[in-house]
Amino acid sequence: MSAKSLIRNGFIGSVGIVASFVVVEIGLRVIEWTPAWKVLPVVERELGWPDPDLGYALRPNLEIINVRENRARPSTNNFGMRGRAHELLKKPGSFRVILTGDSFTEALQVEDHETFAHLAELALNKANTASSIELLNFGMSGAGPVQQLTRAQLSAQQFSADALVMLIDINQFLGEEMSNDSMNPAYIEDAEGKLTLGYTFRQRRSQGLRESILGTVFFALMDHSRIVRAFYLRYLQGAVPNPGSRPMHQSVARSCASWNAELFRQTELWRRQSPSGAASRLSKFLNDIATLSTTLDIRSSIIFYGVTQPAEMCTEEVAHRSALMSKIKAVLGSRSITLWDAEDFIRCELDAGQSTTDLHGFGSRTGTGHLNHTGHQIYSRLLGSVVTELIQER
Amino acid sequence: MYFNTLECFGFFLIVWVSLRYLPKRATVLLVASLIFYLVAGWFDTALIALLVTANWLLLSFARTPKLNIALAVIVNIGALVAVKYRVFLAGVPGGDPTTFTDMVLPLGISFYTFQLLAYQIDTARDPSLRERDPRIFMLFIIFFPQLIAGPIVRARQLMPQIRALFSKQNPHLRFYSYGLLLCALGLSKKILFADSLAPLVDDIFYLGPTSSGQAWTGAWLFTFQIYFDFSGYSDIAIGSAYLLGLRLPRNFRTPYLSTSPREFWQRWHITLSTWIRDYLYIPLGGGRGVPVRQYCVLVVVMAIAGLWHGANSTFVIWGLLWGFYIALHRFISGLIRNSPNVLRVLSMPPSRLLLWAAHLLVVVVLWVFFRAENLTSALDYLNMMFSIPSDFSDQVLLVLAGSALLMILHAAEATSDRMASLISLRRYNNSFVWGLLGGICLWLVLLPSYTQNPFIYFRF
Repeated sequence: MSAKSLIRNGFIGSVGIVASFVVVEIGLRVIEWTPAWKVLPVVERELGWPDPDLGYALRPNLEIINVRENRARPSTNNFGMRGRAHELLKKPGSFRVILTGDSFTEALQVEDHETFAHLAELALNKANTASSIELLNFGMSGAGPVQQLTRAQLSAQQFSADALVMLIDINQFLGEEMSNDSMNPAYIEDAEGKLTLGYTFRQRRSQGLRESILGTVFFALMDHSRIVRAFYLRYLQGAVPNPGSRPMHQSVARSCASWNAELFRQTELWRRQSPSGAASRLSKFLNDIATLSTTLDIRSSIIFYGVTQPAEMCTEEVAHRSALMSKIKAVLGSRSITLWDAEDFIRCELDAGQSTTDLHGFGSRTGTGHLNHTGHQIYSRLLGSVVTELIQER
Repeated sequence: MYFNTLECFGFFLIVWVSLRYLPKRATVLLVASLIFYLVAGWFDTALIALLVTANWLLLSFARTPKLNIALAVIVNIGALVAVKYRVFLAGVPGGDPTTFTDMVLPLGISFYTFQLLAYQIDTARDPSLRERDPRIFMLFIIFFPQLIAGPIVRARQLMPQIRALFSKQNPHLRFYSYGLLLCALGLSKKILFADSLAPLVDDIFYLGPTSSGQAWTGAWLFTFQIYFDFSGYSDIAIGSAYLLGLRLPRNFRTPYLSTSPREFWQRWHITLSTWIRDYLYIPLGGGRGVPVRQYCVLVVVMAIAGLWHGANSTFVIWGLLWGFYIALHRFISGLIRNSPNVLRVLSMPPSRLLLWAAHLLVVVVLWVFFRAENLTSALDYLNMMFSIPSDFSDQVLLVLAGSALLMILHAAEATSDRMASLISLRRYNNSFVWGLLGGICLWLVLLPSYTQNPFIYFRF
């Protein structure tokens, strides 16, 4: 083959490759526009972007197709909240609640009208015809306690909130989320040894991206081209993770001692302030909530989950847990924060034959992962009870 | 290294470029095949090396054809039983049976042992087929596109091509569009359809159907999942082999368009069907003797074919039922053979449509045994399938529409054969089409995936 012919064929071949981009792009768009999105491959859209206050935040006015766990088309409103649109100005006589939480609250696995926040809002408004109740869902994947508090500080005044509800995995107080500010705000010690909010993550290159021309081009490409998104996701994803074995349907029989081990760490933290670093961060966190509540005259509630209820036969462990929750309630109460024990509430709400594992996961993966439809139903009742109590206190 | 991954795409590209521009093409293919298998693991590689060596020694030293065949059966079937069936019988700790793909078996063992056995029997029958060059013999067994899940190739199909490759007489196959089209078609079948249907099927079979409609949906979707998965793999294997300069036999010809069990097995996993026919059915006396004996041979052979898929009673029952179904069809065909009026009615389009629908129904029902975890689950599943429908949810229409679409896609595949005609190949064999199809293949493997989806037949 001559050089001329090689160049000619190479050029025509390149045109063919470009044409393949167009074909695949059109194909992926057709899938998204038709009911086929429920089954066929789609390329997920980037839901978040770098945020100077939170490290990461949901982008406003976005509808994505979530393909993990359960296929759904969740959306964000004009303020980057999960779910329906809200006005900035509060309607006279209405009761506004800022709801913060992690991926459970964000609930990308279900449609907007199926999230527990939305279901609770519907139920509350149905029950309280005299005034309207608004739940502003600021749930965000991976949001730890400090990120949630920062979100509340940013939004409570802006939206003239009347109450704050935080959904927190209690184990996060013992994790790195509270002390590592490389990805999101966290409590770090200043030169004098005092705890203060650290923002090291602001030095990350990605933080400058959002406002830059490069960032604008990047997000425009990601928004409008499925093949660019596919390429980027593939680059991020690396090796495809193995989903592992399917979960057991019923909770696995555990020895009573295993619950003790789980409860021990929390007891050490809440009763004996150990480890001291985590305890002082916890104290600072609770004080900051109290300050926010007092400053803005709002009521605050925290829903804790993550401390599993021991089996009834483990009487000693049940008592241990009960004592721990009483202690937590007292600690929070001293700062005028109401405690809600999610696990305890759920246990009472479960139908006969149901277990807590039935609230998580979808299809054959029921038992693990995020809240499923049943889970959202039960959590909506929990949230409804929390907000009802807040209204009454008000 | 799965065909539907970026790593495999890159590996194939390197092999293709090396093959095109390096002088010793056969050696390149041999080395590439060895690397491909080495990635699977040391045990897998050691086992195939051992079997290839043992078979080579048998060819060289066995004194009589009968002894050669006997020893070949002992060595190859012995290895298959020792490794594959031992693993199945012992159970796989930590395995996840519900994904249907997660069995720990040496890569492609069921396929290459059958290929080795076929070669030994062929050479015993016709010594002129015997290969003296160990490199040619080795490449014939471990040629990587067909190594893992077939097609099961015969010596007379592939050996002359490999010999020509080593003697540098094998011409480059020019119709790249054909090879690329098969690769794109296979990847589409696997990534777009089989992998998309897999979670739906897994959900229904794992949790158990809750209604008759759901049970039929699960069985129907699995019918297509396994077809798209396996025929997708075969298409990629044949397409990539073509691009590397070797022609492999077809393994599927739109099997769900068949109207009888006999026709089905002439269109489904063709290379296994012909293997069973040539090396099992005919030697056992199939087609000879009194009808009862013929039927018995048929049922036994089909049960063995079922067992080949795994030492699970569900596979054996699946094979047995296929045997009974073929025997019944043959019995009825025998009864009406001399009734021209009946034959005329049966050949009319409405009758053929009915036969097709009835046959497809049987195929769908039989797949339940293939997919179910055990016999009890299979029977429970069938019980639900044939219970009185109690619900017609709004999703039924969607499922029906989707199912119809799958069937149309399947039927449309038959028309893709036109692409293989010489005129079409010449017309569309240009660098634009190469770029287009190659680009589509690349984008298909680039699509993000959130679960590992190995080919179903890798477990066999």
